[in-house]
Amino acid sequence: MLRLSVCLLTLVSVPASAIADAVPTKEAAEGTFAERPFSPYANRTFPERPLWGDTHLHTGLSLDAGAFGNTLLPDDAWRFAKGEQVISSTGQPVRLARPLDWMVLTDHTDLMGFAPDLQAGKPGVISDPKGLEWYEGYKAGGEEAGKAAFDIITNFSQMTLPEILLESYSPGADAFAFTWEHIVLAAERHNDPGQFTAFIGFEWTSVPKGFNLHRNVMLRDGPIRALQVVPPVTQPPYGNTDPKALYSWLEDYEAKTGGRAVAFAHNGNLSNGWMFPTEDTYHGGQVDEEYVQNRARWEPHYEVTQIKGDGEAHPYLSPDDPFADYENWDIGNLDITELKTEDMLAGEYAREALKRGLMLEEKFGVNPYKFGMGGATDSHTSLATAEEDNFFGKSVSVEPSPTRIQHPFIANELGEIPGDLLVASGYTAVWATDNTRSAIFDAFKRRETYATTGPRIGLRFFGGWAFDEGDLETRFLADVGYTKGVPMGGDLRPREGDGAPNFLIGALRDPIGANLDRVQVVKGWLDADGAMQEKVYNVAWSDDRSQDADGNLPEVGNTVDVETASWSNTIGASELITVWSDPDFDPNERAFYYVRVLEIPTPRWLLYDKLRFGIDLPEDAQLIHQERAYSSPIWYTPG
Amino acid sequence: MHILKEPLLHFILIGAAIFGWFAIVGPKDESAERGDAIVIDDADVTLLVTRFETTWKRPPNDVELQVLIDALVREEILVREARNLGLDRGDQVIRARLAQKMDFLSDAIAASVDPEDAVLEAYVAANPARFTKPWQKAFDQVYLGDQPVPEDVDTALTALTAGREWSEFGVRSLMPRSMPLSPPGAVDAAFGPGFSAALVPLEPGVWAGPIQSGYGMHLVRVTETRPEYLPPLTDIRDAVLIAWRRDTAEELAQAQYETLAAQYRVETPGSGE
Repeated sequence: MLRLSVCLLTLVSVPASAIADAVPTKEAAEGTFAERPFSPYANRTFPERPLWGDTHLHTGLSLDAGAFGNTLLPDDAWRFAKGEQVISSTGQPVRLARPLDWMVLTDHTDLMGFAPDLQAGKPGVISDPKGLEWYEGYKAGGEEAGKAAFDIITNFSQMTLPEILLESYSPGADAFAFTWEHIVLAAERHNDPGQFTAFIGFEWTSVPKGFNLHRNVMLRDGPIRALQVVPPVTQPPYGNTDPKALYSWLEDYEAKTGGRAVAFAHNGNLSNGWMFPTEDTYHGGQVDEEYVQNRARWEPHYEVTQIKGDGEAHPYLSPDDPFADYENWDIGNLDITELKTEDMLAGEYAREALKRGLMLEEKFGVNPYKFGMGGATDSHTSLATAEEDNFFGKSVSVEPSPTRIQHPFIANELGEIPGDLLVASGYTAVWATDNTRSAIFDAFKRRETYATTGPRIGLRFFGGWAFDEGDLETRFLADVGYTKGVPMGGDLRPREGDGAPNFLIGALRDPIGANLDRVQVVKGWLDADGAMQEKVYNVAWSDDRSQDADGNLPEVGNTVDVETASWSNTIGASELITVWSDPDFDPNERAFYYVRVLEIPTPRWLLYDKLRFGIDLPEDAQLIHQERAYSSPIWYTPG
Repeated sequence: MHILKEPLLHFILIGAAIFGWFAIVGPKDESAERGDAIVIDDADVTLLVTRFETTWKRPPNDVELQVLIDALVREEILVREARNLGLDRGDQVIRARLAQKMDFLSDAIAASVDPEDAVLEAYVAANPARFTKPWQKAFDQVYLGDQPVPEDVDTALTALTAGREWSEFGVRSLMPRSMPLSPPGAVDAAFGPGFSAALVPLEPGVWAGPIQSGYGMHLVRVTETRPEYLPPLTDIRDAVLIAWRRDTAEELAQAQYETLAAQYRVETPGSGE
């Protein structure tokens, strides 16, 4: 009896046997092969297939996700990512078409763990009058619950949360530490080296005045290191919204634990120009030597496409690129407290940031915006869905239902982001030799990743000085690529001879997806006058088309039947491979090159909603789109 | 005695004991008449001090302690008066909290029991699919294009079977030529659904096909096979324990509820007649 009563007091304890650090793996050698053995299969240390994952997902532990009714916790999120069927918070059975290979679970750190306690009406929450009000709203459900959730988010962004609640769910409080432990141990339980990699991570949710400066953080390490710390927050007095504070935390983490971590930003499109500064930072600092060094050191990756918009390019910045106008969100900042103006756009989009990076490198000798590309869902449903026909929305309030598209993402007197603009995007593919924390993390560090808006397009991209048409005949493309060049994310080796760099590029459609329309190379450079330039080249395409004198290619066509949400692979190509050489190369100009692959047109998630629910859509609703992949760049620096 | 081997019954007995024990040692009926003494004893003070220390990492000073005690007295008086006025009845928050505390008791029982390996073995045996590791196969593949003519397929198969160097064969493609030992999910992720199922009947070391993938037709040679297997309990004990506790807690909560519900006669509109 006594023993049992003791057990009652230790309800929150977790099995300690789950603690074990990540299994270290052999370092995957890459780059040149000094000597080739006779057997073409021996010593093949490069990856055979990309590993697919999501770098950004929220569970019910996140303040906003939980307040909006997400009751699924990390265990559910991990099981779903691994391909198991789960029941969503709205009671719908859901499953991925194909499991992911890895994932980073990134719950918001501010007030981490508050939401489940709110849902349960824990005394720590309802003892506060505001907490009680929210709890009663939550219990009432429907509109009342929505109001309560919105009030919580408003109080969070206005920094007017009740002090006692803030204290109880911030660093230093038990509830905060236990939630972190919950996150860490759940990841550890689901980490299965070789089969599925579960990264420990979090989202540092800096959003001063509604300007989105969010960063996700992923750790290379297991619980032994992760549990020596608690993650940082942004709400004063416990945290700070200045990215410098995050950099200090990362530095401390590595120093204290001997672990490794990286941060990566997302949604520059909701920062109103503050994501990629060149002069002043939002927090009153300067883009100086310290800034560029910190940013280059801690942020080798950028989440370029996700549910809240695609951030590769914008038509205002790239007027000559007919495909730049894709799923852009350019109405205002995150809570539309300030509308967007055109001068803000340059500080928001990845392509422009890569160009700015060249300019800053010229100035400081360090490129702060030398990042690899990735895609993520940023779902707040615990469900990493990025496929159009299986899209579970941004939050529990917009899980599949006949009315979900009527819910705006946000609406106020200044403007509105309507619900049909949500993007069923995206995933990150990683070229790593092993499916382990260390191998995937190291691939992030060397930027050997690419983004897609959801489909699993295969993409190889190598840069060098000696690729030729003959290389296309090889049956071991990657072998040639790694031997004669560098993979995506790398720096071109020092120039050989007096020619231009050339690139070995191969794209393979998703095995259950749509054919490919074209492969493009996007080049950005700093010209002799120090001005930033860009150009998009069509380098490989399907069907019997030819470019005109200006390099324009006719459209691939469209097979989508809007009555049935079907399309056919009678246009486009299964695979596109080419060697492309830069026709405008100037050896004195800094440059970067990345690949964009376009699929043939396919239905957007909205069309599936329309057909499955039999609903009417707004007339201007977009039903068809061309999904795509973005490689990490390869950089050229004059010798 | 067979009856004691039934875990569920076990828990119900333990549960009954715990509920009984709580009934004995738990706080007595708190409603009281006006004029009764309010006694703050040493145990109460110790609790206040502990709570304070949890938050502030130091004991309270005398002034702080007095404030805490005054607050407790005030709370006690107001709670008693509120009860006398019946303010606790029909309050959704209080009702939900009380119901939740009962759930905590059942969860706690499941979480507090460390089952014998035999119990977990039986659980695994009853749910083999949840713990079985899928088969893995390694294979080489030659891609023949999306619609090869049958004669070409036959020619290729004959040549490969005769030992022609396979890596120089077939249509060039970005698909992996050789897959390392991979479970069905990884195979289908790379080649499309159904490809892994087509590998199952293939004999190792022998070229076979054509097999349809999401891209077209392939000839395939399985090079290594590892059958599906149920790992020994020692390798999966944590996962089994978590699953067992989750299931047991649910069963227990339901059984507990049914035991309690059996003591009531429930009438709802339309149920009486």
